[in-house]
Amino acid sequence: MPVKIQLHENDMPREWYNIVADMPNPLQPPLHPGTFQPIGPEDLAPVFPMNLIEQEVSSERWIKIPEEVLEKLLIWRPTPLYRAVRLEKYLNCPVKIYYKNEGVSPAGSHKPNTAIPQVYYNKQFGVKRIATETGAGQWGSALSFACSQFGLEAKVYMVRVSYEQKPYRRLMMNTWGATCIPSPSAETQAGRSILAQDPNSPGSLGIAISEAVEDAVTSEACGRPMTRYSLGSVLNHVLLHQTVIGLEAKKQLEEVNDYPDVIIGCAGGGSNFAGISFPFVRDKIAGKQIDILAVEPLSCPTMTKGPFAYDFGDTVKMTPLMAMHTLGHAYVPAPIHAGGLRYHGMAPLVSQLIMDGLVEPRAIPQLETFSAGVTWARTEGFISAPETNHALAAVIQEARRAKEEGKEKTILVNWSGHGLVDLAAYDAYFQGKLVDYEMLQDDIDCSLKCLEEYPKPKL
Amino acid sequence: MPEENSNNTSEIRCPRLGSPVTFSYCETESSGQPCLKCISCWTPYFDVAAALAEKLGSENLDSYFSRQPKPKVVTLIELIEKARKTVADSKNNA
Ligand SMILES: Cc1ncc(COP(=O)(O)O)c(C=O)c1O
Repeated sequence: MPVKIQLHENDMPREWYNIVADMPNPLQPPLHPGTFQPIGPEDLAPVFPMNLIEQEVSSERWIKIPEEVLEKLLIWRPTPLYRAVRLEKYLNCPVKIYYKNEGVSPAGSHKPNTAIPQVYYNKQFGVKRIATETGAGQWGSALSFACSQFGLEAKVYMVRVSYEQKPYRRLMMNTWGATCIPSPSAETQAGRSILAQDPNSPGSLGIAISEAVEDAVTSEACGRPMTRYSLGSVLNHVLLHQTVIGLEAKKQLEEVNDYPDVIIGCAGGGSNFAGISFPFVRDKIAGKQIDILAVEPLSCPTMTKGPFAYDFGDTVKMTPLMAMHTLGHAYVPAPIHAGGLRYHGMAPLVSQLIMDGLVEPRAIPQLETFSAGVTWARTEGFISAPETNHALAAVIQEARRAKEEGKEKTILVNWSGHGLVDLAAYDAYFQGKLVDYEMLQDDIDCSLKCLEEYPKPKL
Repeated sequence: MPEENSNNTSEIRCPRLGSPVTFSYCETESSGQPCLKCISCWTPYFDVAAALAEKLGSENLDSYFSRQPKPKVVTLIELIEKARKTVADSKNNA
């Protein structure tokens, strides 16, 4: 029994899979907050090159991966598919567990799978420089690596609180030749106005994205080289680029005559989950029996608890937004439950597939995720990113369920990245600093009732 | 961490940033106002609702946390408009 199933470089997928072509219900178009009309390609042109916008709105099933992109992906792809034999032995359940190791990329996660094509398409369009925001630096480092490969300038606005605490990813960005500055910065109007109010502002993702977008939109007027903006998750084209993961995994499983009963990925914005699962969701649409689980932290249930509706961006119902999972803007929450219930951020494609019953959301409390990460490290050896640990916790749950049900199962999980730059999070776990709590279903039911009067998207 | 959080020295891992933050970060994360996840993230550690009620006023707490964060594409459209205005203003002032 092979522990690593390797694909030959010649067997790398030559096309990305676009699930939009096969979805039983079309994606709800995002609505422009000013006109209430669907947002069109021209609206996004100031921040993205048109070739990427075309992918964003494409309904072609297969989209060719350009040779120049393939050449760069070959630096670390195809990634190995592992059989988690040591974890299987430890769990002693009737399961075969396979994991796709996306931690072998230069930046240590799945993020370069989209950074490389994004930078390529920008370059094709004549863009010389890319601006982005990053939190702890996973995306910023992936984009910096990709820009260095294609000779574009990268400008990364890193949330100041992370910039000061987390030198390693910043240093990775510098090593790849990117300019990474703390946000808020004095380089944009958005940053300057924050600094004027509070020179010691720790920044936030909201401020950093404002700076990156302003940098892109104002670049030519300010005499900078042609600049566009880049995003590392959520959008359709990002999810599309990640499908190399699942397409490779499918071929690798064919080599050992296997096929998954259960597919698991962690889901923040939804990109690595989409990457591993969408090629299999296609089979499920065609009638295959597979359980496909998107796993999120229990404290921010973007997918797990809410119904699907057009939501409004403010309390006076002025801003119709995208169709997404929501708990309703009229919800007057018990304060203790409010924050988590109201957090969004999941990719619209993943939300739609949940609505269609093709993907099952699952929320797992943080203590269980770190416990799974430690079990994984002590069996399989690899130290996982804290995000990845959510998927691993679900693997353990599913293995135990198979034992309870007395069923043999094959589980496929995406190991989205290593945690070698995130060891402080493990330290907090070891020191007993992490605590869990779960929301009460009654409160959630009450909030959902408020949504009943709102228009539902057509399915 | 968090036996006494109001002293702002304890840290938890922010799931959005992927790095540790103190409560003072969370309570001002959104243009000086609390992050919408603030209550769910900190509730296991201390009476965050009471602390925020002091800041926002208990009568405003529910309405504040009833706001929806905006989807990414809509945020981008709004930021593009804002940036264009910045360029137009600086041209007018020149
Ligand atoms: C290793 C890893 N896995 C998963 C995620 C979650 O993002 P997404 O849901 O877009 O895959 C992140 C985000 O930074 C990450 O760094």
